[in-house]
Amino acid sequence: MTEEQIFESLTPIFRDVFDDDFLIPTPEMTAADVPEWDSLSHIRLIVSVEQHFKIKFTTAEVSSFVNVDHFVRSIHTKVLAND
Amino acid sequence: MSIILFGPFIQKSWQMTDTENSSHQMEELGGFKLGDRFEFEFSIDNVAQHCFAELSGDHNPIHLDAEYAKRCGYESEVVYGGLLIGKISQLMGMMAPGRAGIWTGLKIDFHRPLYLNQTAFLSSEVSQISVGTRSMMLKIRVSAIGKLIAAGTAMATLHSKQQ
Repeated sequence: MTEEQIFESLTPIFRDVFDDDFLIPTPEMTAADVPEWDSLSHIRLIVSVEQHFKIKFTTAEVSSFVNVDHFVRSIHTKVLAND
Repeated sequence: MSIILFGPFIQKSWQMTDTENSSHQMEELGGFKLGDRFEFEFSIDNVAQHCFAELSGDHNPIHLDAEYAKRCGYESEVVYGGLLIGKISQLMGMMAPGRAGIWTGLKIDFHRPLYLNQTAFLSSEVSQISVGTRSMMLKIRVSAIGKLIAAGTAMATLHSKQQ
């Protein structure tokens, strides 16, 4: 799975978690760019991503993401490790 | 440790226990593990139904008038969906996660009506554990006389500081 494919898979997850049918995650996007992105929705996002990609994040990882691009690269690394 | 969501862009932090050393394969959280099951029987009586009508302001006769419900094609008064969610609240608040956490999400579909005084069975199973967010998902199922009444998923997040 490529990072582009991960971005495509993230779009419906972001739209569901943040309740925005038109939201498109971009590499530069941060929590500040999404009004509904608070602590609880962040947890829902992480749990949904873990479920979808069958991966796990540690607490340290959950707190370390700088932006969506960083998040996607972390997902990509874990997905590759599972293959 | 304090979690800052996606860099310094959200001021509100989320206090969590550091699980830096947690294994990616670890499927246990706060004493809960994948596959743990929680279940109980219940029924909703006329008193509960009328109390809910007053509390919610939903006085739809489908829930309160047996004759009206029958004219609509049901066997008798249909239990409020909100009361079924109330029983899920009982599950989450008293069993899983109980005092250890808080209910943070619910997705549920109603498949069939539950009738007044009908015995129902609520069952749940821990279906996902996220150590990194101290959260777990539960599959929820309500059935009566072997038929599915409602099904869905609930999410709970454990407190960072245990009482």
